[in-house]
Amino acid sequence: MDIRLTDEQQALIDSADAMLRRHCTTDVVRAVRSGDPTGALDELWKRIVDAGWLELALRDPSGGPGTLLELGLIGREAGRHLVPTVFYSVIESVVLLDRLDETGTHADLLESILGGAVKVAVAFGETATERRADLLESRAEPVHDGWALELRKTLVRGAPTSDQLIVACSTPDGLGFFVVNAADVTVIPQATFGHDPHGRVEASGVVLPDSACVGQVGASAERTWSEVRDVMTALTAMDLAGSSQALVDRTVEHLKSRQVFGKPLGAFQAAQHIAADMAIRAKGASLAALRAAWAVDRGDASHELAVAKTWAGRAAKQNSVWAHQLHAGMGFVTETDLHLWSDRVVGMDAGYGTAAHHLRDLAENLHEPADERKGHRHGFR
Amino acid sequence: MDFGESDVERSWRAEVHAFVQRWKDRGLPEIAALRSRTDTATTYSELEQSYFDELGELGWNSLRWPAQHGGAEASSFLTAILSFELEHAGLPPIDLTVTSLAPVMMKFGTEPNLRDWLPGMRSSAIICALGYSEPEAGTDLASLRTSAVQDGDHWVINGEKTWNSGAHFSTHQWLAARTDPSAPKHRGISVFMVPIDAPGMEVFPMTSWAGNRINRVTFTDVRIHSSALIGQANEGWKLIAGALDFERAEIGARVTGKLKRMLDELETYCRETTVDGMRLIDRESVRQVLAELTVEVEIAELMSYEITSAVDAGEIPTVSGTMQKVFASELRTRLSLVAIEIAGASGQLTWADPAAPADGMFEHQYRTAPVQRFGGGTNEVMRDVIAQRGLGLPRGDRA
Repeated sequence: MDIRLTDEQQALIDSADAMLRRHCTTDVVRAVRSGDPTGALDELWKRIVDAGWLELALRDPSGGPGTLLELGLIGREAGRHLVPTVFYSVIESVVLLDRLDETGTHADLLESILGGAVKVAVAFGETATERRADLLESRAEPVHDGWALELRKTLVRGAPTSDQLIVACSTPDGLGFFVVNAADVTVIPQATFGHDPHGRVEASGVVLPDSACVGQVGASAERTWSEVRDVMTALTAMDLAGSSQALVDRTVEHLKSRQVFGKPLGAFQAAQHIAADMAIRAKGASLAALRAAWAVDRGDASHELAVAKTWAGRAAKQNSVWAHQLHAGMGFVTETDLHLWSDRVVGMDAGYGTAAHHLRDLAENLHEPADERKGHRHGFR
Repeated sequence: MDFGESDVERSWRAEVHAFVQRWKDRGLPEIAALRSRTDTATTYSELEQSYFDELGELGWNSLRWPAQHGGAEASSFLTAILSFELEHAGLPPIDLTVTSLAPVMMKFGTEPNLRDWLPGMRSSAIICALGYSEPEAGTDLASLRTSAVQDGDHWVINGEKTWNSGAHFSTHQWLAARTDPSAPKHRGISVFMVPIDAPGMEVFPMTSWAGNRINRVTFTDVRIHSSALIGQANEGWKLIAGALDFERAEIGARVTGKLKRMLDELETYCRETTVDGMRLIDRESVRQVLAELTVEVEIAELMSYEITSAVDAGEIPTVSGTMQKVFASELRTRLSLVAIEIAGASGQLTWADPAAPADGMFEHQYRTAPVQRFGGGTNEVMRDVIAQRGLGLPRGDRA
């Protein structure tokens, strides 16, 4: 075991950091939060596409470990610099198409996404289910040469800004995913804590051709959906780890520059100890998320993902709370930007299971004795 | 970045497992537990000594040492696996004499020092008690007052050491004494190897809250030969501060082993115990708490991977080592408290009662854990270190 980053991985981080520092400024972030009337995202999106980040979500054609760890490193930078979350809705569609569209029916669509020409989001969640396919109320019924869809989706990230959607429906043969034009369904924007585009997606009686179906319905779609969730959970944990670190860094800068009682705020032990605890939390988040990203590329990672998302989500939110405490009034006003990270971490953590959900999974596993539990044990063991 | 286990690591673990099983079969964990829980044990028993001797014969004391000093130059991950497995099995840890003091001697000691002391350290013939803390100098160690005055070929030592955990089973004191009272406090300290039977040294037992024996040791005109001076006179602070850097990987792995053992024992206890008609493990609230602890123990483990990897890269992971120390030590207390709570009324039974949950591990860990929160510097000072050396915040009011 050697968990140091390779030189190539460090170079990837450095280049992402440099690009985002320049092109994902808080001005851009604020503009996108406000609905992006001037197209502030376009320039950044072009650079993301040119940097090849979307391709990192593709599997290794030879079947070896892919580049999810590298994509995770990008995710951590995205969390540090607040890359608009449409990045993740597009990544999710890439992962789903890459893994499920075995016949290549949607190869052109995937190509267009990777080339930056279109944005696509995956719509799965509904009011009554976040992850269970067997509880979906949205349906696709086979009709002559095609499918008729009834859609009742909620909290579809990226829906209001996507050109097409890949919607999850129950079919007579199990779970299926279908590509639909955003213009052909009703998208109702939702107001979220993260101020990032989410929407309800509704449709009644939309008829799609057979070719709209991605891959096979049933077991293969269900297996792929589970893989997609794993990838997205790991990326979300990495993003949260990045935001956690950004909250440490911003707070430390504030502690150094803010003068109180004739000396820097950061000279007070009470403030130092809070900052030290924030740094410990962020460190743990990063390590757990990296291990999860590494494990997802190598098979069953459910345990590592649950640990990572639980810790990363809680760490980010706790760091946000303490960052506000140490910034006091300087963090309460919006002009100092601190709230941008605070909004981000609550919004990001809400996706792919919060600690409440992942701890329940870990707790359920405890029904099995340790040596019969699934998942690999590594490290010191 | 690779979290996986290499073939070398896998076969090493198998070798360690075989060793561990042999010493478990011989009943060593029970003897080690008794030593940590009672103040009646004195020098090492034959079984304990032969365990340490075997570690020496196998070369496991000197795994990471350079070849020129008889070491195997193994990676710190291999030593971490050993430290983890020993701790997880409840066997005595590799002694700090070889994990910490020997490496610091190799770095700062003189040629004669190495010739005189290293072979005995490697074979477990020399085991040191740490003669650092004094009644008036703990975390602020550089305030120590025990003095050593040169007298021809000898040094004459006077003073008092306390919290001296190993004096009753060690062969030597690794003693920090003030040799230049006029110098700034960090610059007038030297380190000596003082035989435990040196005339003028007296050992007085004290009992800790955990029940084990620690000691107060007095020095009255103790004369030792100048060959007992380790490194250069007045440069002892380098040895004291440096010692911790050499054992961070072992300490991190050892603490991880401890936490995992506690968690495993807690889970087993919950699986085997029925109260009010329901197994504890079948209670949702209990499983939830176990899940939370699992997450936190793994965070501590991940932090120790980072330390190990950094050490193998030749770095000195002061800040990440300090973070792990703070996090893991506080988790150890919390884990034992939570376990006592889950055990309900039985949680108050001590290890001395045959019905105590998990043979009294949790209540005893609760009483032992404070050592880790203040030992090697209190967690408050550790947080200062993280903030100042890790985050670059200014030095505060602590001089």
